[in-house]
Amino acid sequence: MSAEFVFATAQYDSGDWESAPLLPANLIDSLVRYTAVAVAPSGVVVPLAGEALFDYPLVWLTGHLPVRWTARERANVTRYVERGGLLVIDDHNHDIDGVFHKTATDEITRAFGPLVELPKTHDLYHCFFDFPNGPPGTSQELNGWGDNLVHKTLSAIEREGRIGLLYSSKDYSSEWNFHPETKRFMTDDPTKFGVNIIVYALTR
Amino acid sequence: MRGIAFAALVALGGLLLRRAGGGPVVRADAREIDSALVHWSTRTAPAVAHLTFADAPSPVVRDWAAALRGAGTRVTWSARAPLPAVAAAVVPLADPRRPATVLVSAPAGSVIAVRDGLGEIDSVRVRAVGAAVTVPRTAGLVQVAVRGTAARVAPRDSLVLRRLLVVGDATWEAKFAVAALEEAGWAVDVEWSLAPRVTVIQGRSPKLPVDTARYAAVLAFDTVGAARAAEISAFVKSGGGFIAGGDAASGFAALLPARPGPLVPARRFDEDSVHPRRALALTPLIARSDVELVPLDIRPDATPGLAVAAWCVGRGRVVQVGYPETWRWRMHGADPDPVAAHRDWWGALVSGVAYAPPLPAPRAVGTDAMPLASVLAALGAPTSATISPWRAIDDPRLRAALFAVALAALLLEWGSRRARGAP
Amino acid sequence: MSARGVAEARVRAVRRTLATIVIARAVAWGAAIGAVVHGVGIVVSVRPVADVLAVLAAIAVVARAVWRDRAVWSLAGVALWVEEQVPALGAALITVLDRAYASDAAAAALHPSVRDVASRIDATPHLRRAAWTNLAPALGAVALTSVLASRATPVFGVNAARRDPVASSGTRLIPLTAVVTPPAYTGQRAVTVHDPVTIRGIVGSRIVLTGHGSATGVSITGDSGTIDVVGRDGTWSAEMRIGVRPGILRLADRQYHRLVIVDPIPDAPPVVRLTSPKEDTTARQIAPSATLRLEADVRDDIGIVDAHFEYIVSSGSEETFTFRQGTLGEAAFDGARDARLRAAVPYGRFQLKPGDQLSVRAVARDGNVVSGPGIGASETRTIRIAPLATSDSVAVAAAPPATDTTMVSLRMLIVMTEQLDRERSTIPRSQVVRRSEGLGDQASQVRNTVIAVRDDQTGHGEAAANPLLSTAIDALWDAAASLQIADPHGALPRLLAAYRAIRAFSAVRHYYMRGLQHAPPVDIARERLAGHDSASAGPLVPRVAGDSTHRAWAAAYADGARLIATAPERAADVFTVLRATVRDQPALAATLDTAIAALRARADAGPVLSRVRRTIDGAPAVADSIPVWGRVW
Repeated sequence: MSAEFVFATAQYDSGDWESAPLLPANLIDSLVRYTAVAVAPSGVVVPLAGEALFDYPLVWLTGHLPVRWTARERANVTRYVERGGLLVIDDHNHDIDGVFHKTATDEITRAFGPLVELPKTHDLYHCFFDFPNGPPGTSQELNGWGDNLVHKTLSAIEREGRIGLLYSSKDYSSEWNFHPETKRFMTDDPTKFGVNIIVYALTR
Repeated sequence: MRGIAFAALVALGGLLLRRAGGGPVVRADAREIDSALVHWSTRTAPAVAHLTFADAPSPVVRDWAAALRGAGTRVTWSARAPLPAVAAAVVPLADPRRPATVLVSAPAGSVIAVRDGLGEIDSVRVRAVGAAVTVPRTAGLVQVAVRGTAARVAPRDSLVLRRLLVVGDATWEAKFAVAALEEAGWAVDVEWSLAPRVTVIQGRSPKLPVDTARYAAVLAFDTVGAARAAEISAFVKSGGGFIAGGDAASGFAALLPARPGPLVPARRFDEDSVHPRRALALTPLIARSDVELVPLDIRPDATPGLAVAAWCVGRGRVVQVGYPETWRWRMHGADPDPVAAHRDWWGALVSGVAYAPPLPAPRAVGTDAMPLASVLAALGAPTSATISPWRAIDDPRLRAALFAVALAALLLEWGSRRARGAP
Repeated sequence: MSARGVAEARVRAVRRTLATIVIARAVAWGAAIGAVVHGVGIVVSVRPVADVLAVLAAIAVVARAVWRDRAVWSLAGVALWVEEQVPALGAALITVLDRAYASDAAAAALHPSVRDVASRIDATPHLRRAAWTNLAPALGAVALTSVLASRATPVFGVNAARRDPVASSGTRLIPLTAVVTPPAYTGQRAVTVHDPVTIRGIVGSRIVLTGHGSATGVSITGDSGTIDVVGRDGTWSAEMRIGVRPGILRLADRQYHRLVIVDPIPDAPPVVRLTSPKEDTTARQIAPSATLRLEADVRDDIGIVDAHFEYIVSSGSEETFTFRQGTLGEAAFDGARDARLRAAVPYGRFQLKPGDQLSVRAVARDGNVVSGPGIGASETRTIRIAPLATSDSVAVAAAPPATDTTMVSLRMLIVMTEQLDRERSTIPRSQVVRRSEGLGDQASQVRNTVIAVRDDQTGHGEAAANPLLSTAIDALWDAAASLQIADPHGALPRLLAAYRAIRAFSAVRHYYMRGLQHAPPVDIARERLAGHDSASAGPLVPRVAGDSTHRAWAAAYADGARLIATAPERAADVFTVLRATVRDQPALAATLDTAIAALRARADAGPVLSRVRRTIDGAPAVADSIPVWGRVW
């Protein structure tokens, strides 16, 4: 029986869940490059309303469009986080005035209560690579689209001192949505923080 | 009437006079024993005293009767019905939440009722020679009763709990097992290898040896920790515990009682919320031919179906888990609280192997672990209670009866006179 | 008349009077004794039993008294009494009445006075004295005991405290009255609770506690601190608000204590259910003149203020999107608990283009001014316009939940039809016809459900129907027709065809027109540890042992259990405090309520508390043999 890590992307009803198709491969590639963790070579797509969600203790959710969970999706997400899963939600618009941010945070608050900002000393930023200033910036945040702001913190819902839901307005979905081969030509690998997220999920 | 009353009073007087002269044979039955012992110890000194117990006497009664014997009275006893041979002990378990197992020896077919200082716990009918009740928590003396005979016990030891060590790779199984054990109160050291020069550490320095001075048990969920197999083996032989879960079997084969069989795939959890582990994937354990293992979990829906097995290695204990991904139970389970169930299950596995040296506890007052044996030791074997007519005269109830007869006769006589109008 | 006759007549008259006196006296004494027993029963609070005993005692006394004076029923006895009162008779009366003497002459030969004995019988003054001496004490006893019994009140027993709590028990905490006034926006009336153990009310309600006596020395503390107690006109009172969390009020009056649980009822936000459109839709195109029918059911526990529909139109693709938002169909509901919101909007209003997505939902507000307003929202329906460059062969709509229930109904229908088909040769034809017709009706109902799904999918014909649904509808029509003519065998293939079509429709994946994920697998062997950046994993921080709530409950249970034998009232107080913290565990809360009531009534709470313990600690594991591996598995 393989105990390998499988990267999962959440499919939900209301939005463009598949808008970062190269992100899974990119993060899998980074995990392989920097760690010895057993990992499946391809990611999977898992419906947020389905039982298969619980087969993947780390799930990535992104999109541009409004996030309006169905009752089943909301119940699943609540149960998923309470049992120890980690759901990462990233605003592909990087726009805190935008419909994705407003509707997603509304859904999160409705299910769990308000999000709490993570300090830069949080374990997430030091569990593998060290990010002393908190979440690394992206080239998307000041590209003229979205809210044109640098979002200095990530927010989370924590359970028993562990992150159960991580919310990002930094648009890592755009930042990491490129073919893994491109990393060869980069001096600084922007996907390292993604490795932190996965290592955090696997060890905390 | 007057004649009857007079005769009764004469007989009463004779009994009283007789008592003052000789050493009578006395008896007391069940409810009167307490007051009889007081009376025999403070007012009279019977030559022979016979006690008839309804149930095994309390330690106070037993010891008092023994003291009476020591003072010169020949004390014999019998029971209305054979007293059940009950014995009990409370064994603390190596678990931070301090559960305990109450072990009971009682005749087959008897129903034992267990309670403690906080109230009733449970009851069970003994199938063969004894029974056991594992209780999440006890307080005060634990009482184990068969009919009216009760053994009262308290844990004689408390346990010193060491830490746990989890070695290997960062996997979901390891992560959720550590989460469960920490939530159960265990202190867990972790050594997970992420990359050749990157190891996630919790609570320990890699230089620390793995020994029973620091650790109660070691857990492994993959073969990465097999590099330390020799060290772990020595740890186990010196008394430590070891649990192999996940995919660890092939790396620690020498320590384990079985080899993994062909995979039985996982099923949907909502098909059976009563037996959630039946939905887990299983690599059934096939016992090694040279090993005497203890099966702890057998899956009736699989053949072979041995899922968890245990055995002893040197002075230590080893458990092998054939479920490679118990974490799915926590995430997927359809039972009412799979997180708590998963946690309790891992806690129980660890408590079965953990090295936990006992610390003698202060002896509790009022214990009586083997009531029948204690009576036999104090008062000897029971004797049949055959009473000669002469002895019946010494029955204290006879005096009370005679007095009642005299009084009733006098009252009736007076009433009759009044009814007749005589003065 | 002979002297005997005259004497006999006189004695009979005396006998009547004496008998009356005897009976009256017996009844009077019986009544007095009965009153005494009755009064004792009141004092020791054992009324029903005492009343029965009183009657029995009275009857016994009457019987005893009548029996004792039974001589009054015989002439000889009365004659003797007269002789005692009139010694001058000198036994002449008894002689003349003696039947042994056949005539006056014979009697006179024995006693010379018999001839004029009648003239010497004057018992009147003696009768008067007898009546006075016998009846006066008896009647006096009746009067006295009756007065005392009427004024008897409980001194001992469970009713003692109810008598006059302030005067008898000395505590100002009994009786206690709570007036709970809900917030004004609820429009609900105040409720008065007498001697409350638990006060329930909507969050924000005002509670006024009152009791008899002065306020001096009475203190009340809640979870947020001390509450002021004021006195007026011989009563004390205190006022507080019901907060969001349950709490305990601790009342103290010198050495007396009392606990009252405050159990808040939250004002839930409205529940909104979007009933039209029923499902998401994806269409090739929608005519601007086509109508979007929106309908929602709204329900609230207190009252709905208003509701509206919200929409968001998302346009764009890849990374570039624009959004337009707005509201529709606003309506006010003036505090109604149930409402229906409707709107019909032409699609042209949204200016939808290929690739656009229209999301709609209903939102309602209640009137909660304390912690709200509560806002409830329905699920969102999404209507998508397929982009131009997509293939016709791709199925475009996700399976609606309605098809799940349809499949369940259809499965059951198939099972029952199969059963009827098996049995039709062994049961009467009339029964086959009857059952088959019933199944036919069910098949028609299933067909109607599928038609409703189709209509919703197509916006009632605005867009083309899914061919799978059309297949199912046609097959169900044929199946119903077969069943109506009692041909279950012929209906089965059509039912199965309908089932397969609906199942295929339900299994359709939700494809978005913007394309599927297309990511290459990673070459793990090549990439493994190829990265150049070095890492150093930070130390893990251990988790805190979980279940602190259960541990607190366990400790509270242990504290209470230890007090049961010696101080059951205090044990009940401890469990009352525990009860206030387990509101989210209704089964445990209910069991605790039962246990607390049993303890306060001095009944056996053992079995109930055993259940409480199991709920908190977990059930013990029991084995009917000695375990081999240390514990019961």
